[in-house]
Amino acid sequence: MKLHFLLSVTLMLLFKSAAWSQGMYRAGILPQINMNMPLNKQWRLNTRLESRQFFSEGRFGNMFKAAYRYGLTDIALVASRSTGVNSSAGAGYLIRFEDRVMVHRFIQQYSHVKAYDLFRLGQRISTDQTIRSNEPVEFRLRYRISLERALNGKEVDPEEFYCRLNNEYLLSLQGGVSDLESRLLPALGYAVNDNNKFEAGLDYRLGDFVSGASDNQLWLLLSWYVNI
Amino acid sequence: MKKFIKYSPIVLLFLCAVSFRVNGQVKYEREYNLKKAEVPALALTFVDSCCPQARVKWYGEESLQGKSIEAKVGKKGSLLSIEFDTSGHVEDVEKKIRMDQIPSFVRPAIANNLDSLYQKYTVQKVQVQWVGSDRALHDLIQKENSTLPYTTRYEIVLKGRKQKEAKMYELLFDSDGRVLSVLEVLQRNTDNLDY
Repeated sequence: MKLHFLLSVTLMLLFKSAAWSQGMYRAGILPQINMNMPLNKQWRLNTRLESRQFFSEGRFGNMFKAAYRYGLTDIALVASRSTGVNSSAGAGYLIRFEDRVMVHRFIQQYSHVKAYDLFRLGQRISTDQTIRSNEPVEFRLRYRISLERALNGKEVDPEEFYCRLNNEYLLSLQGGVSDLESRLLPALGYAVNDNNKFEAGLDYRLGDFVSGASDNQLWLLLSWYVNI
Repeated sequence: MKKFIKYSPIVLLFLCAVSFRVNGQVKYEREYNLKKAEVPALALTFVDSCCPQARVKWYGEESLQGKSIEAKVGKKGSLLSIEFDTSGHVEDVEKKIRMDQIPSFVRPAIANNLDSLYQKYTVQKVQVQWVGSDRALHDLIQKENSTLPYTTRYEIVLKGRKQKEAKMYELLFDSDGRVLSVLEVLQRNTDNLDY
């Protein structure tokens, strides 16, 4: 029921944003490798390499224009400690290469996954602090809820497809100005085995809707999750 | 560094191409959806007779013990799992219950056993399991009792902590609360839900 409510709110916000003719949009591709390495029974290391390529950007109402542009590259490292059977707490660092500028981000997160008879529900709460030169530090609080459902049978077995739905909310504060961003990601996944999963999905992000003109982003997210 | 950033999509694809390896993991059970047409007639007849008009989902299961067929049935607000062999003969019936629905004379024995096995535990799922003849199981599904002989067991899935390590376990108890089996439930990878 809670998930239903969140989805309803998100859809409502999406429709509302479409009506804002002055809103900005950006669209592109977001390939990602998510590599996980258990260090021992308690600790594991997650490394993420992600790149953003823009294929189109502009303002709603103006003529659609396709133009390729390299966006940025992120490299993130998060060390997590198991806090229970299906929960973990972690901290990490991300470095972003964008327009010849390096951005630094410190990440803290807690995640919990519960397996039900026919699906798995994951929840993640995280905070981060982003440091850019000549800008105040940006603080963010994020909450994400994810639902994963096998497309054949009750659980995702090797060589099977599954679907995943993410809904995330991000509250940011920078130099006394706060804002809210909402993300919705429906994705189709394929599990080669329990240690190799591929996912393709549409990641829709709606930001800046507290400050005024909406910032709409649509990414084709291509992810590879590998456990080594 | 700039070149690396510029060509990072190519690096990503290259990494995908060269470093992919299939990291096999032993899988003890595999299940899949079954269409009604793929279900043995005997199993269909059994479910139709004891749960008319109920919503039924069929699954095939493969494990080291062999193949089996499972019907998940929603009946009057409760969830039943009816297990059949591949020829359609009913093997057992499981019904999801709450811990306080286990008879009061069995609960203390189960609690004592759990206390001795784990430093700390949290119950995740409880099922009553009935094993008996087709007729007895038919009665149990419909009336929750039968004059014919049958065996009652309790299956409990829990998060248990032993020697500072928490794991998921599946325990089977007999009708007096004695432990029949303890299995560790292997946890599936949660990386795509964590990061």
